[in-house]
Parts: sequence; C-alpha cells; structure tokens
Amino acid sequence: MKKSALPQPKRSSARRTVAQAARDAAKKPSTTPIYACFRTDILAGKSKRTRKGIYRHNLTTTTASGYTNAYDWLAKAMGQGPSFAGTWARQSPTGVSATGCTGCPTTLPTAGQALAGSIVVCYGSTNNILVYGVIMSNTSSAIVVDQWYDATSTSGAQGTTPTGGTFYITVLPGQNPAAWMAVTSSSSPTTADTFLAGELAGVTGFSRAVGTYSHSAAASTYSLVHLWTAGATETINMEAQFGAANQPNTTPGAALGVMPFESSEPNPPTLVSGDTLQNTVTITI
Amino acid sequence: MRVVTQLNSFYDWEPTPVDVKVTPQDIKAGRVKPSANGGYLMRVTRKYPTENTTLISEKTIIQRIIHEMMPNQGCVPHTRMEAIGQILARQVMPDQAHPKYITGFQVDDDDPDEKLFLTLVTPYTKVTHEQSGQPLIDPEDMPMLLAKYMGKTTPQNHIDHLHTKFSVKKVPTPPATPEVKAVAK
Repeated sequence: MKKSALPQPKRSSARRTVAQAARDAAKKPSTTPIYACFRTDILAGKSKRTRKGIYRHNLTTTTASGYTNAYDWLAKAMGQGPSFAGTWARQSPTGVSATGCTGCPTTLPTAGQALAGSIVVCYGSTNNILVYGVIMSNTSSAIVVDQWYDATSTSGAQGTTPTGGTFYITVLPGQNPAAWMAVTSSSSPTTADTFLAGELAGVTGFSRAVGTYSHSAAASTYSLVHLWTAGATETINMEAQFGAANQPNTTPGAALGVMPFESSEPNPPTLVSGDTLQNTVTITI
Repeated sequence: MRVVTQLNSFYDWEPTPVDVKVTPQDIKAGRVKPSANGGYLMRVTRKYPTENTTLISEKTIIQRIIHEMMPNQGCVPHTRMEAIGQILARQVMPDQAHPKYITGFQVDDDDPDEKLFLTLVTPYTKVTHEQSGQPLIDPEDMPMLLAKYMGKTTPQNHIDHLHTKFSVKKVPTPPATPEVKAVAK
C-alpha cells in the first residue's frame, strides 16, 4: 500500500505535539483524578437560613510540603505495602508517653517523610493496654503520635497510655485514613495548606469529628457526612478532611495529620445557636 | 455501628457526554457534580444488585439526637435506634441509592456510650437560643433523653426498625428442605 493511501491525521496549525503539550503542562500544577466534591446543607427549621447546597469541587493540597500533601497520602495509602517494613517495624521501646514512644533499640528510618502518616500499635505489659496512634514524625529512636487511640471507639476517642514493664510496638504499612472532618471561619485556602487556619474546636458543636462513611460496592465514589449543631453564632468559610483526630499547631510545618482535601464556601453561611450544618463530601476514586 | 444495606440498584457517576447541556436546574437538583478537570459527572443508576456499607460513629448518633432536639427542628426526642434510621434516611441514602432500591439490612451494633452522651449533650443545656434566650435543650429533659439513648436494643430491633422506616418488605425465611432437616438432625 502506498503511504499516501494510509489515513493521515488532520494537520492544523493549532495542534501541538505530545512533547510540546508535555512542556506546557510541566509549567502548571498537576491535577488528580481522585478528588472530592463538598456540599453544605443548612438545617435551620423554617427560617430563611435553611438552604440545600450544591456540589462544589474541592481544592486538593498538591503543593504542600511534607506528608500532609494529598498526593503523598494517596500514594502511600494505596501502594505502600510490605516493602515498607523492616526489622525496626516491630520492637520494644523503653518508654511510652501520651504523645509517643522513646528508646527504640532498632534504628527507625528517618529519610524523606520517614514514617509519617502510618499507624503504630503499642502495648504496655503493666496495665495490659493495647492502643494505636497516627505517626506525626519520628527520629531514629523515637516516634511522635497525635494521640493514642482507643481501638474500640467508633468516634476515635483517646485511649489509655500504655505503661510498662515491657512495651511492644508494631508500625503498619499504609496510612491512616483521612476520615476526620473539620470547619473554620477563616477563608482563602491554597494548595500549599497543611492545616485549616482558625479551625473551630473550642466552640460548642464544631469540634473535629469522624465522618459517617458510606460506599456501595462497585460504585466509583465514597462519601463522608457529618452534622455540626451550632452552640454559638459562627460563619463557616471552609471545610476540610484530616487523617488524625487532633487539631494542628498553628505553625506551618507542625501540622498534625494529613489534610488532602479542603473547600471554601462560595456563600459562607452564618449559623446561629441551634442551627445545623450538614457537610457531605463525596470522593471520586 | 455498621449497617450493610442490600440494594438492587445504586447511584454512581459518569462523565456527561459531549452532546449534553447541563442546566442550572441539574446542578441545583444534584443530578450533576463537577468532574476532576472541568465539565461534569452525572448521576446514573446502576441496575444490578450490590450492598452499601455505612459506618456510623457513636458521636454521629449523639449529634443526630442533639440536632433533632433543637427548637427549630421541633424538639423531638429520639431513641438511639431512631437516630440511626434518620442518619441513614437523611444523611447517607440520598447520595447512595433511592429507598425503593433497598431489599434488606444487616446490622452490627455497638453499645451506647453514656459518658460520651453526657459530654456532648450537656453543653447544649447551657447554651441559649438566639431569639428565645432559653437553653437549646431543657436541662429537665436530660434524664428522659439519656434513658431513650441508653435503651436496650438488639441488632434485630434495628433491622426491624429500618425495614419499617424504609418500607422494605421482609423476605420470609424459606422452609427447610428435607436435606437441611436431615443435616439438622
């Protein structure tokens, strides 16, 4: 067959080569097919404040440094398997406090993001307590967690600190899920955020909470939902998801827990005491 | 609290075809949502059996009871079982499946948490309503609310309640076949 007889792609001056498109794309932040849509409903009885929200695209934290970045969390949660482990993953530290353990005899990995985001299980022989924690940071011999969790609590309640005797820890592959939801009255999110500025925690009804998880087998999404019933007048400007129970420090870089998705309110609702905000997040996988 | 809901159809999301025009009404009704890189995803109903898993924290159950007790919601005291039904009906299922797609339920229940209940509800007996100046939850209602919350329920009670709430017919257990009877002996 003559070459001229083969179907030729249409030529146009507007078309770019793959190499050109790749060079152009390299100048922009990357986008992820895994993302979240937030929806906010205000439940305030027959008042004018009641409104049903619409789905809005989230802002994915793609440029944040450290492990709070959504991409890093997703990659480690989905792909980090047994090759993550080593002789350090199960050992007997000499001390355990409310925020971690010290005196690990086998050197822990510290390169890159080290163990951040993984789950560590800890047992103390004296009070016979078994708890788990989400690793925030670590050195070669110590691990910092945001808290020890009571493994039997569906609300992520704080567990009893193990006492020894002898302590045992096991660091598990993967990452703690980002199932925690929080709100703030501050605004202006960016892709470099590592925490939710001004997160509402001390105001009645607005503390960070585990969302109600729901997924239909074979569906391409899952959802997290939570109700916040206001105990005071507050304007809600942003919502976000987190991988740990505790509020971050307000110092950038000292955040507690991954924050993969956040979203600003296009029409920030002002709630008065007794009003309820229902936040629904659907994550497309 | 773990509720597995058997479904004969369920909601999923697909990119809108290029020939489809998305209207503001579609967006407002939740028939579409933004896709990852511009454009929209539309809600589709997959018509084959599946099951939905919903995990509800105890804090969420108590939060629902608080919400239902708010003056602008009519101050309706709910049992723990009723609150779980409301969570499924109002918070979960609208994004997962139409109630008519439900064919059954399975429930794994945890015990109520009295300490957590008191920790979460007590502040609302002190906070006052914006207009009336009265407490959002009357402190005198606390013993009644706590008793309703702590009421003993079995997983079967939850299943029966959910069947009634969502008007799902119970499938009778088929009579045992001779082979099953022989094994039972």
